[in-house]
Parts: sequence; structure tokens; C-alpha cells
Amino acid sequence: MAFLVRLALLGGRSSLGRPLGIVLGVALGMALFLLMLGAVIALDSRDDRTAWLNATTESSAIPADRAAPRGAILAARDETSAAGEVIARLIVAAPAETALPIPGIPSAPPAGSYYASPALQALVARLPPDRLGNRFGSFAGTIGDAALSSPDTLVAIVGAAPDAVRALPGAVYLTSFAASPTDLGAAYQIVILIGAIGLFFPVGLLIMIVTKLGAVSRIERFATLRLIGASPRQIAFVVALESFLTATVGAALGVVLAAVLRPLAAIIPLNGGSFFPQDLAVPASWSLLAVGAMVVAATLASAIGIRRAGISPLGATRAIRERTPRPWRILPLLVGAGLIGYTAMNAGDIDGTVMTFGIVGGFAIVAAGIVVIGPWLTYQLSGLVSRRAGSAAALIAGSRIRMTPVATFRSVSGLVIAVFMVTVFATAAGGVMQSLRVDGVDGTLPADALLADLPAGADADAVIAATLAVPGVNAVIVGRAVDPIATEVHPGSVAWAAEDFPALGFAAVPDAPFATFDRTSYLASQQEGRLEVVAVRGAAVGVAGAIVVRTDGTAEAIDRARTAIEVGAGPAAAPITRVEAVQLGIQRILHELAVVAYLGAFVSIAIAGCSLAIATAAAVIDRRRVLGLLRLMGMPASQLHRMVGFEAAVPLVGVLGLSVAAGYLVADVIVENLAGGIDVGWPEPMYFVALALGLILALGAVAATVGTIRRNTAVSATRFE
Amino acid sequence: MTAVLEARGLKKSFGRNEALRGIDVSIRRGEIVAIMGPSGSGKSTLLHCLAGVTVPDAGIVRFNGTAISTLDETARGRLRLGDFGFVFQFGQLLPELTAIDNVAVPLLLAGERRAAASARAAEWLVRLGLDGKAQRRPQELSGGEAQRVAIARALVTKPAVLFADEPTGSLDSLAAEGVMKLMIELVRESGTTVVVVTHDSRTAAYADRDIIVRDGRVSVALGEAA
Amino acid sequence: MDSALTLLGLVSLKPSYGYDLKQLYDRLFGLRKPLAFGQVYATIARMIRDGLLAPLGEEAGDGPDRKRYAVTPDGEERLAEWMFTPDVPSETLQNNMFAKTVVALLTGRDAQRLLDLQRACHMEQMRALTRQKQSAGLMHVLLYDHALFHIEADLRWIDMTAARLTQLRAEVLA
Repeated sequence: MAFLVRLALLGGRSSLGRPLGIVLGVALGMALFLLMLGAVIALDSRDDRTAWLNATTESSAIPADRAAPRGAILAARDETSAAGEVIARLIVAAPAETALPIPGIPSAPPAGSYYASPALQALVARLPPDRLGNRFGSFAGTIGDAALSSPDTLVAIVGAAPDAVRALPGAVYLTSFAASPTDLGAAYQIVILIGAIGLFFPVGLLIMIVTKLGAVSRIERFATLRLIGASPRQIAFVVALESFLTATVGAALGVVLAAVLRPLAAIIPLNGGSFFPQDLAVPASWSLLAVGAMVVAATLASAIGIRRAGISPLGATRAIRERTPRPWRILPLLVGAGLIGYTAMNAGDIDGTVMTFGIVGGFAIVAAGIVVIGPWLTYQLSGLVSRRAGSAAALIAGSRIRMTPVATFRSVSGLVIAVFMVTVFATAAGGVMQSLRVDGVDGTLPADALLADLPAGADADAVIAATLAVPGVNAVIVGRAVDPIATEVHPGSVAWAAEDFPALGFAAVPDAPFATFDRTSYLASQQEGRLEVVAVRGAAVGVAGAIVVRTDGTAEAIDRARTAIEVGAGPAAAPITRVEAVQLGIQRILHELAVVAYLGAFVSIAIAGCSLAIATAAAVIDRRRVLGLLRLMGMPASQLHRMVGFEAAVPLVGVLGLSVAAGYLVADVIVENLAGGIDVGWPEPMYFVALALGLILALGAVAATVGTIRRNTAVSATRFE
Repeated sequence: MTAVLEARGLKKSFGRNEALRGIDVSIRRGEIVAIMGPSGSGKSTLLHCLAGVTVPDAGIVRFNGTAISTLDETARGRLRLGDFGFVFQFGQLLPELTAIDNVAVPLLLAGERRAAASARAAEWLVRLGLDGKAQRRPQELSGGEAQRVAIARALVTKPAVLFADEPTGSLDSLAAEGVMKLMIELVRESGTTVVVVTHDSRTAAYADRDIIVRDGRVSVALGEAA
Repeated sequence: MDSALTLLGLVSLKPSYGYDLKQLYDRLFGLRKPLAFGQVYATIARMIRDGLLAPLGEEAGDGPDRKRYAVTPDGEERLAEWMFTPDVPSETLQNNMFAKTVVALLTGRDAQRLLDLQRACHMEQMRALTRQKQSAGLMHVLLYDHALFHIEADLRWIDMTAARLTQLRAEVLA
């Protein structure tokens, strides 16, 4: 037995390269797996750290108009933004005697000072004070990482006078900062899950390919062992032993690799920000379990695989030709598409959870359907190619694929799935982004404008003057509070002078001197029909209640105007642009989903490129004798390269087309029916970058095999007799 | 009669192994010549030098008066594709191609259109008694049938010289006889020159004469002109 | 080849005239050496004497070519014995080529040249037979094959001997 093991492991020319390849493949797969596992665990746990920001909405919070409990901290939570980033802000007034610590900071900030997360400090430092810093007052200190979910978290804890806090909407007394974390939402979680599965798929594929590569390349040697009397059990033992050793080394290396790659992987933003590297650490017990599972799986898989390969003393007995793919393979794709279509078209009548499962499930079935239909499509396409081929390269490639459509497609399946996923996300994101366009809609706040309240007690004239003085501000339009008793408008409505309506974004001017309109619709992304304008008698109009600030549209001007308003009128003024009103949250989620999709696509594409290269090289080595003879007969090397190119291109082009089309249609159906009558346009530019990257990788992988082809088919390398 | 192939002073070594130690050969147009000799005598190396597959260390090979041993690989490849045909012992057919496609490959390589190539390939299959086997793949053919497909492939481009390296080496006597008989008939008909390497005297008996290679040299026992 | 027993076998097909027998024999076996009529009748007479053949009917006096002959039970028995007794491979250990090679080695003559000449002669013979075989019918192909295989056996012996000449010389001279 020892002799057999030595022979199987050490003998032969390529014997060192192969186990090395397996070790590296397993290590890479293991590292990716551990990082993804770490991310999934971290996603769940890290949001607990910022849960304290939700304390003001907990049921334990006491409204500020009630009596103050002893030691309670008066707090209000809002959001402000600068340079397009949203900043969470907790405004507090803590009594001196309070024993309640605020998470992440040593003591409550005195009025007029603030604590900031490191990311916010960086943003404050980057922007001029009149764009951001002046809104918070003087810097008191840093919020500790223990109170932040991510290094990217933008949080400020601002100190204010008790009266000022009490005047803010949603102000409460807090006796505890215990709160539950923000709910991710089932859809988001399911999409993350799909992304994770999309990432696991190529990793599994990679591990499968490298272990298979190990067994297949040695079938001849094992046949020799069988010939000199080794039993199938002994062969299986030798193979399993080798897999055990390589998988153990590879998995252990993978754990190290994961630790090394952690800081790099932590940069990737997911659900609101990048990770602290230690967040991605997987508990030692989990790592050990993963290593064990990997070793057992690899060992069993190779032992079973080699027995199934049926090595007789005369070599492998596998049939070269695969079974012809049948047309039933279209079915899953149709089922998935049908499910999505049905769910989307009946969106109005279906319960939300059911709809989520319909869409996500349909998406998963379509993805699986593409994998299932791939070999059939490849087979059909190869038939067309081999029938129509005008060159020897195309003829040979087409015929080869026709005999092994499943294996051929397998080598590009990762790429195809990645492209499908990216297409769906990019197209859907592009469509939704389009629906969030805020320019040129009659009866809405112009894109360059801020709408702010002027709370009672604020010095309206001073605020207006200060705002007008900001560079880039073109006009300040004042809305006036309406006496609710004298009119029939909603309490708190603001009336605007008729002559200001064009500047407010309305095409038509009302006939009354003053008119009011619905604030929510005014801030909406799209107007269906014209916004209803209600005339108000001049007698009912009072003091300044709100302003609309028209700027030159630059981020600098908007930030500075906002700072001026907040400094003058306090955070309660809550200046907002229509972009912010519409996109708050949605854009972030879309962006992250796109990141997940592109990341998944990149990993899938990279791995698919590797497997494509391996499969291409293996296909050449399999036929090196006959290809060598063809070269001897005078077939130019360029024709051989073209042949290899065809063998990779046929499944790629055929099914990639399907992926893009299916992805585009799925996204179209989802967006059109869920977001209401929006046509999806061009996907984001990143999409084309990802596609180009995928194709370059695939081409590079195939080009990398050219050396193998040359070596293996060189006239001098072929034994011809 | 002019010499279609001529070699003078051929020498070729592989490491320390001197495969050819100075060989002179002249082959006339339309002649069928068998190269015989014990294993390792250098007969296959001689064939490879004559066919422009291997470049000799010393000496010269002329085809129709042109020195081919000094051409580069691309030019020799073109020569092999256009003017030479090859038949080997076994495993020379592409397993994924049907018999007719295998025969059509050299024509496609030469730039012929698919339809014309298929038509000519079909013609040659009939000549080799393979009608009805056109859509079979190599693994669905017997050894003799596969060799006949290989011969069709070698002759379909109407080569000036057919090189055959142990063409009957993996066949039983009966199949070998069928293959040789057909091959000889077809080359006699077209006037193709044949160089066949074999250690089987019954295969060699189909030739017009034999050249014995022993220890890298042509055995010169006979008064016959080499 | 025993022409008498071969003729007996042909008669066993059906009672035949001497003339028909000769024609049939020549067609099957007379490729290079047809039988003379005299030889046919002499052989028939000898087999009648030995009780293997008998003339049919009472047509005596009509001359030999007007008689038909049939196989007797003794004849059938003899035929079966011939048919199913294997031929002993010929004893050729002391054949001429072997003798010439040994003598050449002993006397310091060029044994290699001897073998090469012999080989060339054999190959020439094989080529001639192969040429004739190519236009022959199956019956005769078998005959040519038999000859070719025998020559091939000699050629193999020549090749093996040529490859072992050095060893052989040492042994002969020892």
C-alpha cells in the first residue's frame, strides 16, 4: 500500500503541479467562503451596535411634552445631508445629574458642541465649514467604533439647549438607549441571500473543477496500477488519501488567506457601509467546522468520483459522448419567467410577502433555468455551427461541442449566470433611477431648490437675509402661514404669492393673490396630472412660515444654503431638496444591490474564466495526439487557435445572449409593474464595464491556453506511428 | 524518369541517439517505395525528414528539385497540406467528426468551400468502399474502415506524394490486405508517389521496391540503384 | 499435395467421366500445372486396382473416356482418413539457408550479404505474387496467400538471423 501511495502521489512529471493547483484552488474557495460567511454573520450582528440611534422611536421613550423623568436625556433624531451623503443626527440635552451614558461617547455634549463618527469627521474636514461643519457647532470628540455599525457610518451627536430640543419634531425623554436594530426588510434579505448563493455557486464549481482535474489527469496512471494488480478499493483509497492531504493543506491555507484578505474584503460596502475588518472574522469553531466539512467533502467526492469513473486495467471506461440534451430543458426558464410575469402583473392584488417570494423565487428559477437550458442551447448552436462551418476550425469545434454540450456549457455556466444577475440588477437599477429623475416636472420643487420650514420663534428676516447672502443662492421665496380658522385649508399649510409660482416650479399662475398646495405631492418624483392649487384669500395670510431657496444647483450652494438655514432657524427647519425627499434610502439600497451584483459577477467571472481556461486546456490535451497529427499534416497553428476560440465562443456567445435578454426582460417586467409604468432604459455604465471585464477575462483565459496548445501539438511533441 | 523526392547525406540525432547517419535516397515519380528495417533503425525518422516534418541536422531533401529541408515551419506546413498526404498507424481521425467531415478537413484547410469539400469527400468515401458509412464517427468504424477513411483523407487533396507510416500496423491480415489493395489501386490510378514505412513484408510487397534502413544507414546489398 | 486423393475427393461429389474430372481439377488446382490426360487415367486405373474407385454400369469396351467412375466404400473411408489427418509441419530445420549462413560465418565469408541477397530474392518473389494476387479470384488468392505466408516466414527468419549475426558468429567460432 505504501508503495502504491508513493507511486500515485510522487511519480510522474506533472505530479507536483497538480496537487499544488488543487491546494490553491481549495484555499481560494475556502477563503472566499469564510469571508462570505463572515459577512453574513456580521450583517446580522453589526446593526445591533447602531440600534441606539433608534431609541427615540422605542415605546420606552417619553414624549417631550410630558413631565421629565429623573436623569432622562432629552433627545430628537433627524437627518441632514451634505455632498449627497445622509448624516444621522441625534440632538440631545442631558441634565447634569444624568447617570445615563450615551453609547460611544464619554459624556453628553454640552449645548453647541458635537461628537462625530470618524467618517463624519473626515467629511467635515473635507468640506468648508459653511457647507457642513457650522451646522454642528464645536467639535467635542469622536464616537467610538463600538457604537458604529461600519467605518462609513455618518453620525453626529449634537448638544443643544433643552428648549431647542423640545421644539424639534419627535423630541422625547430617553431613560435608556436600548433599542432594536433597523429591520432590513425581507426583500433585501432575500436579495442578499440570492447574491450569496450566486457567489457560493462559482466557489463550489471551482472546488469541483480542481478536484476533478486531479482525478481525470491520472486515469492512465491508475489504470496502470490496476493492471499490475491494485484493487478498485486500493485505488479509491489512494485517491481519497491524496484528496484528504491536499484539501487539508488547502483549507488551512484558506483560513490564513481569509484572515489576510479580510481588510481588503471589508472595504466592500454592504447594507449601509463597509465592514470593520474584525467584523468579518469567523469564530474559530466555525472555521474549524468549515475546514472539516471541506476535507470530508473533498475526500468523499474524489473517492466516489474515481470509483464512478470506472477505471479498468485498460483505462477509463467512460463514454466520450454525452446524452443529447432534450427540449424539456426549456421548461424551467418558462416556469420562472411565468412566475415573475404573473406576480408582477397582479402586483396590486397580491400580499406583499407573497409578491416578494414570487419575484425572488421567479428570479431564482429563471437563473436555474438558464443553467438548465444552457446545454440544450449549446447543442443546437453547435449543430448549426458544424453544419454551416466553412472552415476546419469551426467544423471541428462545432462537432466537438455537439458531442459534449453539458461539459462544454459547464465551463462557461458561471459566467453566464453572473451576466444574468448583473443584467437584472443593472437594468432594474437603471430603470428605478430613471423613475427618480427630478427635473422638469410641472408643479414640483425645482431640482436646484431647498424647501425649509421657519419654526415659530425663528428670526425669519435674519434667516432669509443670511440665506440670500450665500454664494450660489439666486432667490429666496417666502411662504406665509395660513390662519386655519379663516380658511378651509389644512392646518399648518403655507400660502405662496401668485407671482412666485413660476419660480416655485409651476407652469401656470393661480388667479388668486395667494394659493397653497400639498407639500407631499410638491416633493414627489412624478406628478400625475397637475398639482391641485387651492386659492387663499389675502386676509388669511400671516407671518413667514416656510421658504423655497433657489440655487445655481451645485452641491456647494445647496449645502451652504442648508447650513445657513440650520444655523439661523435650527434643525427643526429641516431643509430638504426634492432629490433627497425622493431618493432617501432607495438610492442607497440600489447602489448596494448593484455592488453586490457586480461583486458577485466579478468573482463568478474570474472563477468562470479559470474553469474555462482549464476546460479548454484539458480539451486540447485530450486530443493532443490527433491535433498533433493534424498539424503534421499541415494544419496551421492559427487554425488550431481559432478552433479553441470557437470551442469557447459558441457556448459563451449563445447563452450569454440569452442571459442578457432574460436579464433585461426580467428587470423590465419587475420595474414596469412594480414601479408603475416606467420603461427601463439603458443600464448603468458600470454594467458595460462588468460585461467587458467578463469578456476580457474569458478571452484572456482562452488566450492563456495557447501556450498549452503549442506545446502539446508541436510536431516534435507528437508520437506518430 | 525524374526524381520527385531526393535526399542526400541525411543525418539526424535525438540527443545521443543517432537516428540517421548519412542517408541517400531517390524516389521516382509514381513509384511506390517501402522503407523497411528493424525497430529503432531510423525508418520513421527518414520518413519525417522526407515529408518535411523533421528538419535534418545535415544533408538536404529535395521535392521536385526544391530544397524543402531549409524552409521554415510555416512553408513546410503549407507544403505538407498541399502536396503531401499522410496515413498513420491509428488514432489519426478526429473522434468528434463524422467520416465525411474527417475527409473534408484538409480541403477546408486548403480554403475550399464546405459544400464542394463535402461533395468531394463523399466521392472519395465511395471510392474506398465506405458508402453508407459517411455519417459514422471513428469509434463506430472498424479498424480497417478507419484506415480507409484516413486514406481518403490523405488522397482527397490529390497529393503528389503519399506518406504512410505503418498503415496496416494495427490491423489483422485480412483488413490490412483490403486497405493496401485499395490504396495501391487508387495511387496507381492517379500516379501518386508513395513512401510507406512498414516492418511487415507482406505490406512492403505491394511496393515497387524496398529500401532497408539498418542502424541509420541504407543497406546496400543489392546492385539496384538506390 | 496428393493429386490422387484430391481426384478421389472430386469423384465423391458425384460419379464423373475422366474428362470432366480433369476439367474440374484444372479449374480448382491447375493454376500453374494442369494435369495431363494420361496422368488422370493412370491415377484412376491405380485407384480402381486398389479398390477405391469403381467404373459405373456395364459400358465396358467403349474406351476409358466413355466411362463414369464412382467412389467405393473403401474409397470413402480412405478419403475421410486423408481429410481428417492433420499434415505434419515440414521438417526444415536443416534447410539450405541455415547451412549457408553457418558455413559463411565459419569460413569468414560475408554472411550479411548472403542474407541480404536472399532477402531481396524473397521480396522480389513476394512482390510478383502480390501483383498476381491482385487480379486473382478468391480461390487463387488463398493459394497465393499460402505461398506469401511461407515466404514471409522465411523473411522473418532472415531478419531475425541478420539481427543476431554477431552473436551467432561468436557461437559458431567458439
